[in-house]
Amino acid sequence: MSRTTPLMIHIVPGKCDFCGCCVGVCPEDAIELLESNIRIIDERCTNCRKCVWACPWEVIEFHREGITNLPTEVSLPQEYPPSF
Amino acid sequence: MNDSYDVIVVGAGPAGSTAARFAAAGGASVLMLEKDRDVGYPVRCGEAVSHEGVVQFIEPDDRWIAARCNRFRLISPSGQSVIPRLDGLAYVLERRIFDYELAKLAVKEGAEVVTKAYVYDLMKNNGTVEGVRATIKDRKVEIKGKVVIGADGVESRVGKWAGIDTTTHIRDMESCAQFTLSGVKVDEDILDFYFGEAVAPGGYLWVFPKGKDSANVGIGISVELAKQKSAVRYLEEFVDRMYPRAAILTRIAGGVPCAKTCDEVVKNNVLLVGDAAHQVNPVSGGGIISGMIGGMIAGQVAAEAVQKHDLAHLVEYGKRWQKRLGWRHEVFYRIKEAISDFSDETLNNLCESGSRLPDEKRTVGGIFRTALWNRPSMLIDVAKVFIS
Ligand SMILES: Cc1cc2nc3c(=O)[nH]c(=O)nc-3n(C[C@H](O)[C@H](O)[C@H](O)COP(=O)(O)OP(=O)(O)OC[C@H]3O[C@@H](n4cnc5c(N)ncnc54)[C@H](O)[C@@H]3O)c2cc1C
Ligand code: SF4
Ligand code: SF4
Repeated sequence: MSRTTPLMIHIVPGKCDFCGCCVGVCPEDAIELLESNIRIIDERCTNCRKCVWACPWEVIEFHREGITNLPTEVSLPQEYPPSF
Repeated sequence: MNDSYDVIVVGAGPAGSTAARFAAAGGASVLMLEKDRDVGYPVRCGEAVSHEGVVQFIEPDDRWIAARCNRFRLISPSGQSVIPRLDGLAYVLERRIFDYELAKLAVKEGAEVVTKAYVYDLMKNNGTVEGVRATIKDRKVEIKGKVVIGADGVESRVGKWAGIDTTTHIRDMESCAQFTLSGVKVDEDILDFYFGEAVAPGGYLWVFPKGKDSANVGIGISVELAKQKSAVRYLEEFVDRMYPRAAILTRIAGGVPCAKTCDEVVKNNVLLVGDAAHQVNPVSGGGIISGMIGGMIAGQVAAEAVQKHDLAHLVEYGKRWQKRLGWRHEVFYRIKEAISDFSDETLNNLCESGSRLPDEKRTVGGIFRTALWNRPSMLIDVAKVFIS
C-alpha cells in the first residue's frame, strides 16, 4: 500500500519501553523493534494510528500536519548503549 | 555456532526455550536466537502460574517461586470482594530466574543459545523458508534451518514474513503496564483481581504478592478502550490511591494478545508458538504455560519431521495444538466476548451474591449460579457466556 500523505506517526525519543505492544497491532509490519531501539518504517506505515492507541506508555504521537522535521528513531541514553 | 541447523528457534521466552528443548530431545540440531542481551529480562509479566501447569515441565524450586497462593479475590467496581475457592495452588514466579532455567533445560538437551542475536528476515527460496537472517553483535549472518520456530512474542514478525497474518485486532490486544512495589502490605497467599469501567475497562487490574512486602501491581486494558486514556494512567491512579507510600522498584509496559490462536500456525516450514501464535488464555491473559505447551508440541513435531526427512509432517503441529488447547481457547474466547459486555452493575451483583455463599459452594460456577438465582435478568448475560 502506498501513502500519499506525509508520515504522521512519531515515537517520542527516549521514552519507549521497547515492549512490543504497538508491533503486535500494526497491520502493515511497519515497526521495527530491537532491544533498545525502535523505528517506524516510513514506506509501509499508513498512519492508521493503531500503534498510538496501543502504547501503554503514551509514547507514540499522531501529528496531522506530518512529522517531516522530527526524528522517528529513539534509543536509550548513552549509559545504556544499544546492543547492535 | 554453525551455518546450518535442523531447527532454528527465534526468541528465548518460555515458549521458545521449551520448543528448543523438545526439538533437541527429539534428536534435532537446534539453535535458539534471542535479540536481548539477557534471557528472561526485562520481565514483562504478572508472573502467576498454576502448580499443575508448571510441573508438566519442571520441578518447582524455591529459587524461582516468590509466593505460593491458594486463594484469589475478585473485587467489584463498588469495592465488594468475593474469594472463590482455588482448586490447587498458584505460584508467583521470579521469571528472570525461571526463564533462565527453561533455557538451561534446552541447553542440557543439546540446543545452542545465542543472545544479542536479532533476526531481521527469513531466507526464502520460491516461498519456502530455508533459514534466517540475523544481526549477531554487529555482524550480519545467514543461518540455514530446515524448520524455523517463531517464538518471538507479542512483537512477533516471523509469522508475517512467512505469510501468516498474526496482527492482533485492537479489541483483543491488552495494553499493559505493571509496577513492582516494595514496602506494601499484601496478603501473601491471595491473588487479587479488580474489575470495572473506572479501574480497567475491557480488562482487569491485578495485585500479585511477591513475598511479604512486595507485589506486582499491573493492568491490562483493551486497546479499543484505551484510545482516550492509556494503561499507565489507570495504573498510576490506582497505585496513588491504594499504595501512596510504596516504592516502585520496576516499571514496565507490555501487550498480551488475548485472541484465539492464529488461524495458521504452520506455513512454509515455519511454526509459530507462544504469544507469536496467540496461544494465550483469552479470558485471563495467562500465556506462560499455554505457550510452553505450544512450544513442546512444536519442538516434538519439528524433530519428528526432521528425523523422517518429511517436512510435510509439520502440519501435525497445528492439529495436535488444536486438540490439546486450541479448542479450549476458542470456548474461552466466547466467554471473554460475553464478559466484556458485562456492565459495572452486573459485576457488582456477581460479587455481592457470590460473597454470601458458604465456603464450599464459593467456586466460580457457584457464584454465577447464585447470582442468577437472585437476579433472573442476569440470565441473559450469563447465558451469553455459555451459549453462542
Ligand atoms: C504485563 C503482563 C502480565 C502478564 N502476566 C501473566 C501472568 O501472570 N501469567 C501468565 O501466564 N502470563 C502472563 N502474561 C503473558 C506472558 O508473559 C506471555 O504469554 C509469555 O511471556 C509468552 O511467552 P513467549 O515465549 O511466547 O514470548 P516472550 O516471553 O515474550 O518471549 C519472546 C522472546 O523473543 C525475543 N524476540 C522477539 N523478536 C525477536 C527477533 N526478531 N529476534 C530474536 N529474538 C526476538 C524477545 O526478546 C523475547 O525474549 C503477562 C503479560 C504481560 C505483558
Ligand atoms: S500508524 Fe498503523 S501502519 Fe503506521 S506504524 Fe502505526 S499501526 Fe503501523
Ligand atoms: S512505542 Fe509504546 S507500545 Fe511500542 S514498544 Fe515503545 S512503549 Fe511499547
